[in-house]
Amino acid sequence: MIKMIRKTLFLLMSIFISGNILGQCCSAGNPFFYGELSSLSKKNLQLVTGYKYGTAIRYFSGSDPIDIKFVDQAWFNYLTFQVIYGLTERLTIQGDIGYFMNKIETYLIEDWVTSKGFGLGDANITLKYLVYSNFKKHLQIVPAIGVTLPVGVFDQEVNHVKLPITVQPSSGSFKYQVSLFINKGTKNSKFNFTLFAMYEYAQLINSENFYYKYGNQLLFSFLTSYSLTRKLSFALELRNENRARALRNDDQTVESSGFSLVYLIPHLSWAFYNNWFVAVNTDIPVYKYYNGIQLSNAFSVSIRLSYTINFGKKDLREFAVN
Amino acid sequence: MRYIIPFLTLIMILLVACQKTDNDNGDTTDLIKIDSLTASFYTVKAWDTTTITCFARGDSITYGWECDHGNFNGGGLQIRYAAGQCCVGLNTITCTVSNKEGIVSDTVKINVTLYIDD
Repeated sequence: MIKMIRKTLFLLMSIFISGNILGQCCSAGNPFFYGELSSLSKKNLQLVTGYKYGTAIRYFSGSDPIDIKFVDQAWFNYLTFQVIYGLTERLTIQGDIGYFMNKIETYLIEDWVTSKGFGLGDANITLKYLVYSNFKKHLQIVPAIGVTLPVGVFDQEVNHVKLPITVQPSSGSFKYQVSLFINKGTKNSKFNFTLFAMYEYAQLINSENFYYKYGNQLLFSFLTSYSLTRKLSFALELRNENRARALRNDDQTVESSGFSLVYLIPHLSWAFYNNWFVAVNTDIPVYKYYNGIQLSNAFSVSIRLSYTINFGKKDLREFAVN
Repeated sequence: MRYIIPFLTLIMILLVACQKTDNDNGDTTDLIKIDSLTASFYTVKAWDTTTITCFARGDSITYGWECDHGNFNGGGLQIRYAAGQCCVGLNTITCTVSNKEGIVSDTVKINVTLYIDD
């Protein structure tokens, strides 16, 4: 019974958080989306699909709201699809692709028409390696490297007028990530803890008409989960996102870019049938600091559905004693 | 280890395949001529607006607009432009005029200043 709870909790934990692409609502590029973080067993295939709604409604100067009469509200409806496959017992490859159903800004200026972008966002490939797994100690460590590919739409126009970068589906930039996932269970099989850290380096965009480098990003996340029943889990996460200032023409620093945010994120996850999981979470910002003046994130809500297929023997490597 | 090389190869292919090329402005032509590209204000405070107008000659011409930073409203030969504090500095607005004969473009620079002066 305890083993079953651990097994379920571990699988739920592993889909709670993900080192997927980061993006502030509502800026160019995919939003943060939860998915698989852990590695999979050899010949296990996991398919994840998800939906996210995010919104931004107020300008902030530092940590204080400021009244700017320009963007009234910004929001997006976003879909993601992830394919994760265990190449070996330790090595897992993950592919992500995002699609914006819409990405919208409305304005307070009279007669200023709403900007609406949509389409394919960025893609991401991540390689994860299980360096340590010990069932007795309930400990698993998985570092990963990833690359974001700007395969989507970055030059969308309406009536021959280019949309602002904030509603373009793709970030237009290659990004490279390194991350570390540590999962630690306890003697009480109902509790589990996860630590996740990620650094993302954004490559300079240097085209004929556009010179820009997004700020690099550092993320820390701490999550604790509790198994309410054998198949139902609740988790609470504290996530800190820090983005450095961007650079523009002539390598000028964009003073009104970059931020430090802290989110409180409750998760609810349910395992059903065989190898199906569904999870919902909402990102609630509890601390916001924006360099200069920027439109700030309000809240977001996500739902995610995951299905795992085992093409190999029916074992779960995460329970193997190292 | 046998997966590392294929993975790195895949990454390299994607990196090359996904490189964005600079905008191709098509064939320039003498059959279209931009007479003027002007702004009502060349320096604006963040989130203030300026109106940019492009006068061009040619048959059945279409006006296209893009900027490196900022937002547009409108279209055709006249457009409104505004940029937030994210876009403080000298921003380039490009007007592209085209028809089936070809395409020409011109640029104007708009200086966006801080919303609150230091």
